[in-house]
Amino acid sequence: MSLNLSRVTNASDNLTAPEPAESQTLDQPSALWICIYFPDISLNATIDIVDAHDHDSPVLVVENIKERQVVHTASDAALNLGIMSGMPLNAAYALCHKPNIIPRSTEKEMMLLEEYASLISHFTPTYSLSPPDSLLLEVSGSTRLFGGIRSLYQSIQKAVNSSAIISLSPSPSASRLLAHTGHKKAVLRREQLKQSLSPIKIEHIDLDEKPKSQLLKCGIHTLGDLWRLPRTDLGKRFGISLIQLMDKLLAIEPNPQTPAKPKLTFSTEITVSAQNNNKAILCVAAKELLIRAQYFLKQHASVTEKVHFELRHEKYDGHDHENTTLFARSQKASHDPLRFLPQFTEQLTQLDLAQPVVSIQLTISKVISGSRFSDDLFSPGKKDNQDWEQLMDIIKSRLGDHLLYGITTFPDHRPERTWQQKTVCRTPMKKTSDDSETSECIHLQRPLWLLKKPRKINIDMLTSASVYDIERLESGWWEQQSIRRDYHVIHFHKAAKAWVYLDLSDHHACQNSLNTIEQKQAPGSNWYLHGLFG
Amino acid sequence: MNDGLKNEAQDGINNETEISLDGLIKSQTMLWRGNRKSHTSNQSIETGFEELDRFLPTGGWPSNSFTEIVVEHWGNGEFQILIPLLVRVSQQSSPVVFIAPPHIPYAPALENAGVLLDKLIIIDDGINANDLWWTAEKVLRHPECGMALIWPKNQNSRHTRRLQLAASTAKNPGFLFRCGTPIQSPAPLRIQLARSADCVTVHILKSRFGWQQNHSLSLNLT
Repeated sequence: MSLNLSRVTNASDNLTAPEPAESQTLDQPSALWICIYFPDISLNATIDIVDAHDHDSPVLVVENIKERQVVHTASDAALNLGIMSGMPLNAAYALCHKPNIIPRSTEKEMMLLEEYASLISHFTPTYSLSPPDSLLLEVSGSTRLFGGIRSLYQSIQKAVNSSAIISLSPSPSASRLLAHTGHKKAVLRREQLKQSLSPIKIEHIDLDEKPKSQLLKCGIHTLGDLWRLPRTDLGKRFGISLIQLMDKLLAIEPNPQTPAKPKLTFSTEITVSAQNNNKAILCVAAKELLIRAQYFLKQHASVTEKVHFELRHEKYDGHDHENTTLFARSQKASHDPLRFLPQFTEQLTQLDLAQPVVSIQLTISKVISGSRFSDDLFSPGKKDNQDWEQLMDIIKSRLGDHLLYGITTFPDHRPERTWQQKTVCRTPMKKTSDDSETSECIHLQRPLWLLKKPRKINIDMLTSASVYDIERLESGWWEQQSIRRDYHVIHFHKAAKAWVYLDLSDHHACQNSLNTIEQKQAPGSNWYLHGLFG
Repeated sequence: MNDGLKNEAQDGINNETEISLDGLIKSQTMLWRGNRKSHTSNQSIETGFEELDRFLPTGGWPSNSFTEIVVEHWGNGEFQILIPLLVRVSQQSSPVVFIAPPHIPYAPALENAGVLLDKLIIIDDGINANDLWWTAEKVLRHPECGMALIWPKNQNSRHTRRLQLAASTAKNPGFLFRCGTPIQSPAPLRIQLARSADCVTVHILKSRFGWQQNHSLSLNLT
């Protein structure tokens, strides 16, 4: 099995882009729109990984039109058999016995289109999605930066790396029409538009079926035929919408596009060949997803702390199985998601996959602007403990968050509350003013070990013990967890030095008279072991 | 006169025999001598107690292997004996990992001793046995680890050997604690601690680095 993410070939050779010398002499138009048309988007949206075997078998993406199943897109192998898009599925069966039928998914196409948009978003700040299969980029402000139109075109072609058809013109509608009719053209001047668009047939224009058929009945087959007719009469006969369309094509009438909003989340998916439960292949697929995420973060100068993998399982006995969800987290937001791969691998090895995985989806729901996490320029000698953090992340992902923690002090007199768990952090916590209260308690003798729960001890154990210091702790009365205890540092014979206390909460009556250890050894006294001096 | 010469000649022969015998033993690298310090003894770190440094065959805690500390009960000085090292390692900004400690390492006492709490990472004793050894090995093998303290629940010589290999590869000091009667273990240095009042008696159970004349030392930890 092999990853086939660029299954479609790069086709940039046929661009009729002007020579650089020519473009310099031209007046720069006010706007220049590039349309990137992805003819195979519905195929690519459904198949990301195909076996070498499957690559040769015909694949058809079908959709329901008026309760009929119609071929929307056909793979190269299917096209070679004579199957065309728009053909009913029954006709396709007549040409091919066992095609791979995949229902069309507009959601997946939109996701892929957004992913493509993320690949080209660094070429221009003004780009928009033209669903279901195109992107529009306004590049008049970017040509100089990228070394001319030809260079920019080639960069875009390289970035999308697919069979995308790219055309350029001063009008977004014209660019879209040129690309959709397979014209890889660059029209730089508005005056050239009419000439370039003339051969395009009427059925390709974005118009309702009714006026379109009326035009065809009148013998108007191309846009050139349309422009030869008087404008006012055309408006009267076919409606103002046709005139507006023609003006938009020639960039006479403004045609504003909705700019795409920068994405705050990232999601990508890889389909793994069915019946495959090989964890090594899942790791390869995860790595590929992380490389995509890395590219996305790089383009957006962003970082992330957490990625989310969802393993989708095959339908079994007609039932959907719950997806397996895996998280990979990092203490420090990183621009390199590949550091999450060891965590994913570790979690996957622990996992018992009951059903084969058909696809893996990676989601980054929180994309953080990266500027806040830049390294310190003025501390070059500072130890870079990135590897250590990565190890902690791996350990956390295996053991769970609750088993790994750091400790800190807290200003409270109750021994259980003078320490706190905290998440393991990268940078040392800054000292706060509250710590001053803790430092007051520091001179007091405290044990190195604190028992999780005080253990009740037998009075007999105290008879042979030597007692050193006594300290009364009475605190927390304003809360429900008040304590009244007399703490003693004692030394058990041939055993540890310990921190024990007498619980006074049940000795209200005699608390003031319990001044000596002998008095405290009275029957019914509650003695507890709370710490060991290690 | 003649007798005197004879005696001198005899002494000379004896000296030569002694020198050659000593030289012969020294030349045999495969021969282990109990009262000799090992060539690895210089790879040690100070314990923070001068007496203990002199007592231990390595001249301190072995820095590139792990040490097993056996006590009858928890709290018999096994934690206190490591506090000076803990302070030093944490102040060098190296992380210190506690793996499955039997009780809570008490933050106020550690801070009082001078340990930088930010450098401490605790792995709770709710961890299962397999994960414990896996974590211990990962941590000890990491070059940035300062030191690791491990409280395993069960004895497993295979895992202990793996730990020793990890510690020697990354040259990290590791400490393994056991409670109860000493049993066989592949740890290169094994000591037993027993408390009496403010003193702790350190007894060497096993040492790969050579032996001292006295096997026990009474150490005042305060």
